[in-house]
Amino acid sequence: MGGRWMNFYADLPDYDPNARRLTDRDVLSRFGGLLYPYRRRMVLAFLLVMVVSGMMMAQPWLIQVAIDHGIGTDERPGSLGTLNATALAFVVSLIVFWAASYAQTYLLSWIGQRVLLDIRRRLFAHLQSLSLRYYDRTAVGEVISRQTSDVNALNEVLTQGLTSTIADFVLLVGTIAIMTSMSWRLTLVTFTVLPIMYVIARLFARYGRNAYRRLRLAVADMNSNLAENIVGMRIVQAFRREERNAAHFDIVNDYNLQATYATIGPHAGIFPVTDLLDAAATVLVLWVGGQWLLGDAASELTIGVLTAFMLFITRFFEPIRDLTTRFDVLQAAMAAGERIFGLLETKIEVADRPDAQALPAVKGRIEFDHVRFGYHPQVPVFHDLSFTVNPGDRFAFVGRTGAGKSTIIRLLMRFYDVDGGAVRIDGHDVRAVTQESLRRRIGLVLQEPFLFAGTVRENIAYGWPEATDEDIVRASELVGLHPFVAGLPDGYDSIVEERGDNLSGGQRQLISLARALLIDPRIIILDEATSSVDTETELLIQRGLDRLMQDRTALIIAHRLSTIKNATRILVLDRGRLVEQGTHTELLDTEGYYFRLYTTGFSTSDDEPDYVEEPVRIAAIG
Amino acid sequence: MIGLGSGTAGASTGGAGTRVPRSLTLGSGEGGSWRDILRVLGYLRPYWHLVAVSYACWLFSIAMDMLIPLQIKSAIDDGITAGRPEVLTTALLIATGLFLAKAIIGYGYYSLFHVYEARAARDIRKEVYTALQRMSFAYLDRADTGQLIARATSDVDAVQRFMGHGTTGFVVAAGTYLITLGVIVFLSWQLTLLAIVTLPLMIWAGLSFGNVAGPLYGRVQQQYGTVTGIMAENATGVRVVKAFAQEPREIAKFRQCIEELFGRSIRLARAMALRQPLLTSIAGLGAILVIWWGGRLVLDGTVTIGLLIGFQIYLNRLVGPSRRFGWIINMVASAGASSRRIFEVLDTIPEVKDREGARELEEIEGEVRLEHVWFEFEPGVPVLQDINLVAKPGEVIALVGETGAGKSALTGLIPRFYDATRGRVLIDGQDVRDLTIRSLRRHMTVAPQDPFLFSESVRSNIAYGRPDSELPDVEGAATRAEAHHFASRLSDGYETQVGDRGAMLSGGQRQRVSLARAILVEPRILILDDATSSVDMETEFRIERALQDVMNRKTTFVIAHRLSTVKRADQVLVMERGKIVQRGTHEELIRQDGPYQRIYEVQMRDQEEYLAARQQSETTNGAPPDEAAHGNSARGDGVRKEDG
Repeated sequence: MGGRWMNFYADLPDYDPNARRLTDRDVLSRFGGLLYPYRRRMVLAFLLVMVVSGMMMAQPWLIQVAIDHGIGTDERPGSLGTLNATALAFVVSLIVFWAASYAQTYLLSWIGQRVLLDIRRRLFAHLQSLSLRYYDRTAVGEVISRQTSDVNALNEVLTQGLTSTIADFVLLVGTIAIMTSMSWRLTLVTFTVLPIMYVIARLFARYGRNAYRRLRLAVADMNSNLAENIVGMRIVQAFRREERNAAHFDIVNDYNLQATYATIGPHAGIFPVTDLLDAAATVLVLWVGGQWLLGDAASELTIGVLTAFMLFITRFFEPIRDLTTRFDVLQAAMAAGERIFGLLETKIEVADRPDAQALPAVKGRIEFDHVRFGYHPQVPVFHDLSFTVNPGDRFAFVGRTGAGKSTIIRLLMRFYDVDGGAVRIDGHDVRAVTQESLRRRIGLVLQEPFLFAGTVRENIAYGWPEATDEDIVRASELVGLHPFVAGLPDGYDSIVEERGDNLSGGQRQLISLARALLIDPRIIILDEATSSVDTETELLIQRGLDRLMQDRTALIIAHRLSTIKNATRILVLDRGRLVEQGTHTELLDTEGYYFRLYTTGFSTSDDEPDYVEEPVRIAAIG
Repeated sequence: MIGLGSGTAGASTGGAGTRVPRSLTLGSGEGGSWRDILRVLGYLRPYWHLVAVSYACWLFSIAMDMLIPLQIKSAIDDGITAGRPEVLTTALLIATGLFLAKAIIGYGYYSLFHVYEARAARDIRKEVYTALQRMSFAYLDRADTGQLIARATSDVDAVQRFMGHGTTGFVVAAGTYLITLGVIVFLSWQLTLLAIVTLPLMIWAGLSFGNVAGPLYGRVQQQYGTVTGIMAENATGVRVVKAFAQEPREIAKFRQCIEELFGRSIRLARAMALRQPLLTSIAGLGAILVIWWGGRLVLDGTVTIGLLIGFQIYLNRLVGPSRRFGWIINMVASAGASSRRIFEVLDTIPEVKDREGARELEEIEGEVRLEHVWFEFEPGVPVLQDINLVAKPGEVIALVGETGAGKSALTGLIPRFYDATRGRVLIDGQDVRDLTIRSLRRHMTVAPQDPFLFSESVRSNIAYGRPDSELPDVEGAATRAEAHHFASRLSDGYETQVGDRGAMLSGGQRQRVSLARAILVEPRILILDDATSSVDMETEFRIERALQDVMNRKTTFVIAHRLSTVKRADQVLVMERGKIVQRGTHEELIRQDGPYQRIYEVQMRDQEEYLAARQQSETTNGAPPDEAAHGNSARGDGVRKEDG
């Protein structure tokens, strides 16, 4: 049973074939690039780290001075004045330590948070400019997790790791320096345990990394099982799968427990082992040092030095222990960095040309000129599609799912680029103008209107945030939305929940109509809903649509025969080819595809439908 | 009517619809109390022996910690100072033995708390999972799924860390304090008094650390939630963002949000940066006080230098725990909040559950009867009002009406997804509330409008209600749901993985898989809740035809918007605002002045009249009317050939 979910992840295709594979060196150099703008602050923080470490190391030394010179021994009595002075110095060092620690931690956290902000901003902006082809390939959850869990993995390193790692290194170097100055021979004695430390740390790291990798898979699997069952709980209950699914969850839950067990060994082991090595060094130093003192072999050595040296041994092992335990986090950060930078370097497929002009005011003439296109190069949707829509025309596209209706709209909006031929608006190739200006001329009404969390006003003004209240009310009145909004307790300031969950389908559709109308586009694109629009608001929407399309060029992906009937021209698509076109009456007369669809609901006489399925993950419209 | 801008709007709640605010179901989870902390610790009870062994290990290692400095002291005082090398060696050998024992025992201690916290967390997760399975649909409707997921995952994680790391950390820190205190009092009460002068200062600093960091941490988390929300919204709505060319504005909006996140994070960082070294400094202050005053005592001859050094080593042990107290306080606060959030879920009493002495529902004919049924999600806001209907076995009942009219709520009462507030729902004359939920639902299935597929293969999704089905049965159901054709052409056929929530399939394909899933169960009662809304007209037509024989053998409820689907139903019920306003057959209803007629006008009239006229003209002069009128049949023939 154990292998199932492991294999599941192994079988998943690489999420993005365009993302570059980055080496460790690449990732590190990009981290460096992110830190570069803050180099001055980094230097300052580094200096502060030195101060902090200096203070931390000065303290045992001060204690040594206090004992040796302040208190002294029978042969060499100390003086109260020295004791007082060193105590005072110690207090001062504590205050300096506090102040410098504060400044250093604050500064490094600031840099870390700033870098995170930069990464988040760059990721978000990059994701905004990626073409829809990327979103077709990539699940929404994947896009989100790239911005959350991967960035969070960096967060840990940047906010805590950066501070601690630098501090640890400085502390380590400084401690070694002081230890050497106190007694290089005792320092060498201390170092004898380091090779053992190294071997053990490597063993733990290797074993630990594999264990953690398995744990991460187990956690991901368990959490997605949970999430899936929570979201699909209605189906679980409707099909009485509670017991069966609970049994399955038990397996996943237990597997997670087993994977956790596997990490406990290396995790829990590293502490006692470093403790033990710390102890070994202490005992060794004390024994060797004691022998020297007794044998008078080293005149430089005093009891005070030996005592202080023992304190330094503990301080010497502290950063080593920290660095060892942080190894996992560093590995995770490297992996996350790989993915983040890989995404940031994904090529933007649909980009404005360097010489792109803004699309001037247009009349609304649309031209598809021998267009060739496919979502996958080997599966063409259009071989050679041509048609022209004159300003003010209302074109309805009819055909089965996958016939290419939505693709026409995606090409017109330039969500994708054609593979051959051209799409023109008033003679301007859509690839020669800026995407922003192109899309401002086109009003899009989606089959399933997507509303953003915010107010009704913000949703209507989505395409033109500077619109005045009068503009908004006028647009809303024209499509017949106003009476409904006026009836809301907060009017246009009423809150629309995430994705408009608190509004009915018809209300959402009316808001999206007003949104499209507000930008006063010359071209209207309408992806008609197949159903789910309230029957009562249906006529209202129909009227709103008529207003919206008045005096504008309109392309409609039509599902309702009533809409189709009123079109200037009907284009019947089948498997990417234009099989029929004409007015409703003309097409009925031809007794072809459209005629059959209209009279029987069947387009072909044979019973076996021939689907040209759309690429995976194409939403209602692109 | 028109406000002053979005700034003031944030405070108002959703004005539209009758939806219950989500916060009613799930509280904010703030303010976890000590009772929650104690209750969550109760999950450790089954593992009390592990807890006991773990703490025994800890006590043992404490004892080692106490004995080791004594050996060191003896090594210095009796060995080096007294000039006796054999004492030095012996003392150090003993110390080594103690160190070794401590390491072995320490491993036991470190690993055991990981084990029991992981086990307790598994138990909690299991309980949450089972609790969620018992929740009624009404609860699931109201609750924010993201919140539920967070409670079953990240909140459990927070509690898990607290149960092992947190409690041990606390006990160890407190224990180390107390024991060390005992030892140093024993060593020298004068020096002890000096050492604990700083204790109140330390406690104050630790508590203030917890008090300040806790809320700041909460504010960071909250803003992080907002940032995640924007990311999610943009990833989902990217097509709209692009269509309206609003990328720059979205980026600016996001920028503002992450700047706020930065601000909050930095406030937390500053608070931590100020207080963390403070704890260390206070501990250092205690140490120097001891050296300074203790040094005078050594000079007086009251105390030996070895004692002072040994004392100093004990004091050194307090630095770590002092620093850790702040962290523990923080952890207790977050675990309290998380356990509150978990218990909110666990303590929810399912609204729909088996009655005491509920019967099994045996084989049924499939008669469904609703008698004076009222239903409300929220008291005082009826979703269904006085519904009466009788569906005889084998009948097709169509429900028509706008979104929110109560169609789905009505069909949801039959499998007891919801319970009627008033009135009765009867299956073959038996009240559904007298039957066990499992046996009731065995006889009926639902194909919803928004189908949920599991990230498994097409085959296991279709066989979801009957996991042991043979492939031919699965294919048979798929064929009738018009899913066979595309399923068999997928890369791995029926074994193709459909991805997260069926992401690899189109909306229409998902609906067809969901329909096949419902058909395969062969229920007596079938509920099609707008189950074909995303498939194109033609495929829907095919599905309808294929389902004819299936529906003839079952009592079927169909919710539909296209009247073509509704036409053949035995009874058509038109609903408006929770009431049945019209009922009859299609033929009867189109002749009545009412909502049904209006829908008919919009959707079907032209088509039907065309067909009728055509039929009439065919019988009279043998040629379709339009063709005769326009006389351009040659062109039509040409196109037809190309099409065929």
